[in-house]
Amino acid sequence: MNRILLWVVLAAWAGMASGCATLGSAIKIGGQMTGYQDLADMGTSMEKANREFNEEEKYYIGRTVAATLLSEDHWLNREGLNAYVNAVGQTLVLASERPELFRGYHFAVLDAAGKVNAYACPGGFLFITTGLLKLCRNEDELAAVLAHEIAHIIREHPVQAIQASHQRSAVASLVKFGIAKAGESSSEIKELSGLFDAVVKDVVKAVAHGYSRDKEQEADLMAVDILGQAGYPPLALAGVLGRMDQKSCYHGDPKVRAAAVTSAAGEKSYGAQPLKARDQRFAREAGK
Amino acid sequence: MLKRVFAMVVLLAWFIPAWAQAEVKYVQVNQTRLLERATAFSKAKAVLPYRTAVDVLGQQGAYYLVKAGKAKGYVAQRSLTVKKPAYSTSGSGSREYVSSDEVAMATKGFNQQVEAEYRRGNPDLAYAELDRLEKATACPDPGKTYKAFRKAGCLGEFQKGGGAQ
Repeated sequence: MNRILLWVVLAAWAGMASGCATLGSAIKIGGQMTGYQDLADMGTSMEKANREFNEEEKYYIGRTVAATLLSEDHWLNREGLNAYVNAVGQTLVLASERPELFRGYHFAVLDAAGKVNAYACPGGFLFITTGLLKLCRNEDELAAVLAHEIAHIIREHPVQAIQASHQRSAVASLVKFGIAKAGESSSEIKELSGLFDAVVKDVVKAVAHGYSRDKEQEADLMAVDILGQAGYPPLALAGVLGRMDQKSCYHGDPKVRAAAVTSAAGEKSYGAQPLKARDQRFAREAGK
Repeated sequence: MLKRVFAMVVLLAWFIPAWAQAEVKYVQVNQTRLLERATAFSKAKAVLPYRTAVDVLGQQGAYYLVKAGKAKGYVAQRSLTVKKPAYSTSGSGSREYVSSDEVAMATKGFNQQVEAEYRRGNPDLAYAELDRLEKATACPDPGKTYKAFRKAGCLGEFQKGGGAQ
């Protein structure tokens, strides 16, 4: 009796272990067993059709989004300011849940005094305009603005802005060209370039004009956490939001957002306090 | 007695396969740092290139404890993926053998070639400026590069009261 029971359990164990195969693999195995190669290919294409853009693709989408923004407002290429903004940004990134991207994070100031804005492009290109930099009173507030943009990247908000129809077309073409393992064809590259254009335009629109209130709030709350983890006072975000007017804040009343940030920061006990040394280097590097 | 033996065997059947098969994940960023502790402010033991396979041994916060070759350390969870990433056409990753099929697949994504084609059709876009910016702001090891900056500003591992360790 005991032996029978042992055999039953061992058989169940073997079944569980083999049942770990993915659906795609299962279809492939089925194909090999029955000789239906089409079935195996169908498994591969199903697997690919469900895929999202990979990290390298997001990087290339982000590069073109960034190049589009830079063609309107140019990079303020001042060595000291570059190094400073990147030091603040990279400190925040290290404290975040996503410290690495495909080619890392890049922070830059855009020469646009008339615009109070900041942008987060996929692939880790983050920009702040001189208009918004001027609104920041100290390093803690600059960090708050950058933390909010980093949060958009971590939550993949720019990529989520790609219209479902464009995403479907792009992925379908990638699958089609991926399955046909022929040599590179210039017509394929041209078609992909057309789809790339639609995808990039969706992202540029979202990055330049802001996201839904829910996504902005999500980024605010994540920024509070990033600031706290990095050692910056999270209330700095409420400070800078409190001085923004409705016109420069595309989604959500900045005063309401500031109140939500104050409430969220109060719920967690971050020990970070303002520091004179940070204020001094901000004054030195950001020209205040 | 029978019931006890049965329960024990079922438990073993459940746990042993999971224990015996450490999950394999792959580096999905250009390079990831293998850290001494589960924080990005920690010192890096090694740098693992794109597509490197690691065995996941455990989890701590936003980090995995992994084994890469003979070295053990922590890697940010979001830097790893379950599926082996496609071969990169832009020269990322280790110089391992890559099949012609893999190269063919890699040429079918939004990549350097697609960007080059798009760039030809959109000569007004500021790619040259972006290239300069990207080069000037590249930072392969921000943990090390900005250590003095964090120390002077009481940030990261230097914040009062410990903060993020």
